[in-house]
Amino acid sequence: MAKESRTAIGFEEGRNDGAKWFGDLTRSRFAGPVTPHHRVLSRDVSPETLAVHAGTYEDPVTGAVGTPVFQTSTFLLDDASYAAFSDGTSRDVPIYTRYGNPSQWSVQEKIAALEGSRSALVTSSGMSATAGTIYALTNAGSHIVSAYDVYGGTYNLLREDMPSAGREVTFVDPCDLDAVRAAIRPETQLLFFETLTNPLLKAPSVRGLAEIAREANALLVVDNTFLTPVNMRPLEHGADVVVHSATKYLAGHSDLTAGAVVGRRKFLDRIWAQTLRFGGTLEPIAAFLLERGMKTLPLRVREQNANALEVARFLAGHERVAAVHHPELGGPRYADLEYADYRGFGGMVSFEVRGGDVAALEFMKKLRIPYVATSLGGVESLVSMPSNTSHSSLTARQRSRIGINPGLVRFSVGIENVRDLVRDLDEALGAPDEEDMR
Amino acid sequence: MRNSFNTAGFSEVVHEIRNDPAEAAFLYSAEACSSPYRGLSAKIGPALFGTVKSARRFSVELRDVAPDGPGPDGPLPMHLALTGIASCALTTLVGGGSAQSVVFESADMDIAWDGGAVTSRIDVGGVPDDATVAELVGQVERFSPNYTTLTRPVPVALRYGPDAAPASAGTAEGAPPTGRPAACRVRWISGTQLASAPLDPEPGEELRVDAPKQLTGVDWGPNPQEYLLMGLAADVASHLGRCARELTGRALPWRVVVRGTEDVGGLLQADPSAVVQLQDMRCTVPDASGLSGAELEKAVAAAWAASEVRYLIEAAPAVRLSSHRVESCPA
Repeated sequence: MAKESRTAIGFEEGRNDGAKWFGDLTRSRFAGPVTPHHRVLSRDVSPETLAVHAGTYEDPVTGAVGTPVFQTSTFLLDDASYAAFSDGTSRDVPIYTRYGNPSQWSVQEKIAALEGSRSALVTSSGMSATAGTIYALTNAGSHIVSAYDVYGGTYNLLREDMPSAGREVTFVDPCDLDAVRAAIRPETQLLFFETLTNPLLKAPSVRGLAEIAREANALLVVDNTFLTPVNMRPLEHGADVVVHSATKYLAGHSDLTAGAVVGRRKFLDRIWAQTLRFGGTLEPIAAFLLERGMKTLPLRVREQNANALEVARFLAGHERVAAVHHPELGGPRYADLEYADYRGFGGMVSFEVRGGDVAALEFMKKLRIPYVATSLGGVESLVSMPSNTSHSSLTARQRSRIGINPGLVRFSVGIENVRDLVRDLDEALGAPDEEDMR
Repeated sequence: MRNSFNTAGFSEVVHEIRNDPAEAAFLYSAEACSSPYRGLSAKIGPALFGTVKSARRFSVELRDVAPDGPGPDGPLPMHLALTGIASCALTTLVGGGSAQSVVFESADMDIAWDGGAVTSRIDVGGVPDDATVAELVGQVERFSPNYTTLTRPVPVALRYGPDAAPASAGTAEGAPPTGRPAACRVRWISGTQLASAPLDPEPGEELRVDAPKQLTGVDWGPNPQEYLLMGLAADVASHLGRCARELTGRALPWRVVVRGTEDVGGLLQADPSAVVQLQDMRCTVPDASGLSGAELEKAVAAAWAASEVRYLIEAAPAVRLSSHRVESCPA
């Protein structure tokens, strides 16, 4: 293989030994990193086509149709490697897998294409993506605004790690834009919110949050795990950076742990540097599995959108269910929702079983199709209770304050036949007894 | 990275601001407090690099500028200003040299203020010949934002009072009464990190200088522009405390806020027509401390006229810069 073809597109153009001053330097920010062998498609192509083809490594030696697994920790050093070390451009040459690997670049290009961006980064987990992003984009002395009901792992990072790292955090209701605006300070540097919250499926206005962030010269980072780019591309609504737990819908098969960050290289190169120092590398085999899983992302998510809606409608009419949370059921929480901004709401439904946590646990034991397990977004349905899993670190009072009431069950609807799922739910819920109905 | 300097990062900024000139507008701010009980201190405010905010927390406790002020318990405001000028000069030198593949062993700058003029000397190690040193120092003289702020007159708008009204004292002319001479040695360490130590007879604590991590630094300390602004704010605040006490007999706390902008296209020469030195300099005294309007005006005018750092920025005092190439140490 010619040495030029293993470096990222744009790398060679950025090398300039004849510069006499900064203004003579020729490196600019570009897309990727991707090599000439990675398939780059216009972002105007439909999501289904991007999911299949974007980023595929077209191996010039074997002609393999699928992206090979570059299962190696290190790469041969050459002039390009040495130039990368010298100039600070080691993200653009395969040197060491913690720095970058063509398997990672392949899936990064696919994620970037689907989110409508030019660059992405994959990491070893969703929390690695979130932590790397927050640390990279803030300074000690800064202030962060986030949601009081943000995902438990993120909440713990913000609450337990940020104070000792010199960042202050204010937690607000993500749907209360006045509260978000009131929380802004001169040193506010980052707003971190979810496009659809876990587990109550609140849908804050990304446009509204982006406007507040812009007015404050702060960055808006959103976690788009629950919606996926199939249902919303937050960058088009004004977000600066998007993070994902790719373990969930993007991978889609509950067989790997991964994270992703999407946005401009101006930010992503800093997040990349932070992540490699934290050691949050995605293994090449996991990158391969993620890239393969994503080929069916639009198909899976569309099916999950439809299945979840049908499940939500069934639950809303069941007398043993006290409340159901799903945007398409409407209600006061979604009164201001701009439905045109969404192509669906994913496979999540949350609902409260009458009788509290004990009744909810009994109900889950009776289910025959979904697995009782944490996580979400896979092809198989999963069911769990936030009170004893993702939000167990909160006090009962804190859970009550954010709306996690006794009996709340989180149902991640898979791609099974929805009639089977509804029948199973119906049987597990059973007829209400007198005690439950009080 | 060569000299631990992220040349690629600066190259990317060059091309970014050529595509979007708004990204070249850098805004810095600093604030100083002079308190009869808590002494003199300065801190930086959030900076804005184009559209990206950098909110770091750095503060310095300082020595009062009054001749009868406390002894060697911290740097003078002038030390901060000189640190800002010299560290900017060295960062420009090493950064520019890195862009043309020069490898440095060392770069130091001694800088001194004697009450009317500035004397400075740059020592560069590892550079192969005198011509390269001369070329690099020439680039410092032309492209260093703080060094050119020293060598060219840069007006500073003064505002004060509850309404932050413009003050006529902002036109103070002539050299200020001589205060304490000050000198420091600034030492380049690595990349954008430098350390500054007072060269006064009494030893002083080192001041750390660094670029923010948004601009390839690691947040090791305030950046050179922020040191210059902190020096100005602290100098004015210190003089305000003294002048108000002399005028009214009252010891009062004072707060002074300074801001300034930089068109980084000038340093980087992404736009050859861009202004290199700091611009839009503004000093605000928002706290009236309960003085009457006339008392406040007199105190502010006296402090402004007495501020040597203000004079350094506004008046383009005489500056002498020399350079010297240090022979490489034998292996």
